Amino acid sequence: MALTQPHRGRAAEHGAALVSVAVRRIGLLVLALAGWELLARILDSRAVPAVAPAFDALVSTVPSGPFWAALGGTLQSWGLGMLLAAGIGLPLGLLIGSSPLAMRATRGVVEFLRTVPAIMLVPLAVLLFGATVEMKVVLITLSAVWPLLVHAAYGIGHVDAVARDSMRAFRLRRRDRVVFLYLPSALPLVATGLRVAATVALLISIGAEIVTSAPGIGYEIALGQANNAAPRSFVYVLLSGLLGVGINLGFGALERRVLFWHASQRARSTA
Amino acid sequence: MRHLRLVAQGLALPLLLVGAWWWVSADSTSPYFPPLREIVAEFADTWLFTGIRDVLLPTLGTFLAGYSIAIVAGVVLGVALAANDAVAGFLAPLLEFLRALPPIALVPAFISVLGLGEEMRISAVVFASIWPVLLNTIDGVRGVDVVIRDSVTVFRVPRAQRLLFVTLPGASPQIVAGVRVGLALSLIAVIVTEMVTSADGVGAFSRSAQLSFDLPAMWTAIILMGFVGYTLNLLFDRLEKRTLRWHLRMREPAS
Repeated sequence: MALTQPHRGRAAEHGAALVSVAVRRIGLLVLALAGWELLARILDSRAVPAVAPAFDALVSTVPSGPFWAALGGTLQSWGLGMLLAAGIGLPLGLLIGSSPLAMRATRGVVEFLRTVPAIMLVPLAVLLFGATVEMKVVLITLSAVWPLLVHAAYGIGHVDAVARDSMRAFRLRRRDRVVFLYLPSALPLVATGLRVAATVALLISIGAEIVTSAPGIGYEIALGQANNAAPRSFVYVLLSGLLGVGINLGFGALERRVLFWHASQRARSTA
Repeated sequence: MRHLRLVAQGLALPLLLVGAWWWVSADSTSPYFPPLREIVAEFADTWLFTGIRDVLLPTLGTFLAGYSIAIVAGVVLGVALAANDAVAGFLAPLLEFLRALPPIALVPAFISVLGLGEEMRISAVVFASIWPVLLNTIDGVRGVDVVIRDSVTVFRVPRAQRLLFVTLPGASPQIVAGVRVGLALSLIAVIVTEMVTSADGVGAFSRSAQLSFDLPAMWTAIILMGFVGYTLNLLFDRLEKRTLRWHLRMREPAS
């Protein structure tokens, strides 16, 4: 009994903490909606709907086909672009990172190419592919490949020197060294690279849709504003924000799961 | 000698790639991939130096205005919020949502409310880049060493000095990281707003080149923004090395 006492106390405490978090979240939501309403009234513009019309639009838009088609259009190009970027960027990054010479030789080119704002390529890509999914996939790949490549290269380049030398001294096979030392050492930065790339990919996907009218969430946002259907446009703005939060949470969880053993995560869980 | 070899290793690939592009594209008849020779000639014609003055400078002006407002506002708000744990914790989900929202998604609304002018473009840039600065500032200020923070409190160091000599320097690595993320976002925001509004600037230039099917002009705009992005990042690296010298030294293993 004496042992269960503090345990039950902690459970109750935990429950109370959950309730307090829920209360605060709801309070924030109410406050945010009130702020939105206030902003809409101050601006008094057809472009920024008040809460009630936006909510009506939400109720009528979400069950409709175009809503899911737009979500699908953005997610499809995002996913394909991420796959391609990972397929190209990660192996290339790992290869480059494992040779200091290759690191030095490619540095200038990589630094230059990755700072070209990918959105500058939109007009070229539109002429080549039209306002299509292919166009978006190419742009997303070209923008998401750099964070992946750079993070993978740095990850594999920063192997613990003592571990590397001991493995070499014990004459571990090359394959074992790669599997048990180099790849695990690169993993933390690869996970970070994935998260960065996923965010960039979403941004470029929606940006390209807004600029070129390729099908997707961005297109619906621009269309709603152009047609004086601001409430519907805002439904899609909210959707893009939720998608962004989802991507952040999802890749953040992946990062923690893959890296439960890594120091940065251990420090976080005790803090 | 060693220095020379390093420079040669660094320059070999860029030169090789540009040479290959020049050679492969020399007889190109594809309208999409004009010979590099043509692009270079067009680049000199368009950009040197009237284009830089009339087209690039407005873009850079918008970028600088929006970016610097975002940095100042982000750091000030971040420090204020971090000083108040309860408020910062309460607002955290909302701030995370705003950061995750692709900033471009609000460009159409910005246009409808603020029109096509410079205010709209600057506001869009501020909105794009303020969130990483703000959130990183909060994280950075909170992450300042507890012992240092407590000692400062115990010794009753005045508020202004505490801010200037303890809080801001302690948070600066995180702040700089957020400011760096903001740099790329600001550039994207400037170009997208220019493309959508077709007023002036490099974004509008490249958009109108697309509409008139002027591919060499489009290529020059891409190359130009490559140079601009690269230069801005180099400047940023310089600044980072200088302001964070103490931090980098602490992180580097003694060698």
